[in-house]
Amino acid sequence: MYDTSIIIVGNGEGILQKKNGYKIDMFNKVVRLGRYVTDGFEEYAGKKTDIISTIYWKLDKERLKKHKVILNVPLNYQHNFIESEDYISKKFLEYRENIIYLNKFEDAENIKQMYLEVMPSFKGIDNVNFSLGFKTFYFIQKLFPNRKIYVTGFDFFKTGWYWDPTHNRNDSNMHPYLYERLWYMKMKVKGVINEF
Amino acid sequence: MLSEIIQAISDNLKFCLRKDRTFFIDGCHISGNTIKFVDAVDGVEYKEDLDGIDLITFADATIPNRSDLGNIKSFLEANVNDHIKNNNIFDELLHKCNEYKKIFNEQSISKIKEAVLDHNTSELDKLNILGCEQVISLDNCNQKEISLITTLYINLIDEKLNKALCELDQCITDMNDIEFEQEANIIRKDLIDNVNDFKRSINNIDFKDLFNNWPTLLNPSPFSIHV
Repeated sequence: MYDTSIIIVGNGEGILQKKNGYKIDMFNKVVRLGRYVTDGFEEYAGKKTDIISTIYWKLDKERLKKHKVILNVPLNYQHNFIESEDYISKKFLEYRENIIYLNKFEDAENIKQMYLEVMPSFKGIDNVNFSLGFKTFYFIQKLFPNRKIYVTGFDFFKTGWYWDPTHNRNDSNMHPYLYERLWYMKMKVKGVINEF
Repeated sequence: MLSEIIQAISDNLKFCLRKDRTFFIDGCHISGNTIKFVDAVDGVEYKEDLDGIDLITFADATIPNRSDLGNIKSFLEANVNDHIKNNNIFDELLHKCNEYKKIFNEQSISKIKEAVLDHNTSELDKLNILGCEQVISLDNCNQKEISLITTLYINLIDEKLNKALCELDQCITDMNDIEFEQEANIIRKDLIDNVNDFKRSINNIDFKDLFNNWPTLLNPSPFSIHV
């Protein structure tokens, strides 16, 4: 059933509501986010990881050794970062081939367009920083265009992380969670995103 | 020496003076050790003792030394480009002061001048976003000021919440889908609950950290503290 499918496993506490761990591990590709934790949560979140989508400062060398990585750089850091891609080459040269995608300037516009394809614009859309989870939908669609995408553990920060419920509770930031969640719902209604 | 320098440059160079207060000089007259001048921001005429006063200029080669004072014309001619740069920077800072002057009340002018001259206007910008009429030093607030800022913070959150709810309603109308509407109503409840919880706990936040805090689901925050 899951042979050609991809599942993106979010870090929201909602994942603890179902013991879906073994089902998650049956997917052909399991994508996890940032500094995800599976130890101690295998029953709910599974233990298999094929791809990690992460912000560059959360990139863990030990994990990079074993997994493919999609590397994200926030818009406001991108200029410095892309200008010095040698940062990756120097720090992660040994495992460079495991970085399957490093986001580019044009991705920011494309991510915005992904939103605008199904949702009306909102004030300040050009200045927000879409969250890692939201961007990951874009990267996965770009890298695996013909795969069916399943999703679990996404609640757009209604809760903290399932292993650390205190994460991102009332922190001021630039992520437009409300709009991302509306987009997600619309994609669900359209059948593009399959909640697991 | 300072009086001689100011007399020598005052017709050609724009400058600030700072003692216990900050002044943007717009025409001055020196008599003995006393300087009389009009401040370009508030338009008030001041008379200050020159002892302990700092002369602030904005480019290289703007302060003549003793030998330059002997031939000030030559000093001014030799460094004309620096002096143009100096005057442009002064004008930019003055323009900034005047922009902030439109936002805040008369009692705030002194703090505006100080913040602009120090290139430290982030607090002014935060207070502007809050709709605060007076400049308050956020690092050094009294209880009354803390109470005012907190009230304005809550008002701003309510304003942003109302706007978000209106957008949510519009989205529901546009979608015209029952399943979407049901889920959107869950989002509405989550958002309202998050804001109410935040408001209830706002007094537990260390005031110095207030601007780093914002109801999660109401992000992006207007204060853009974190990415």
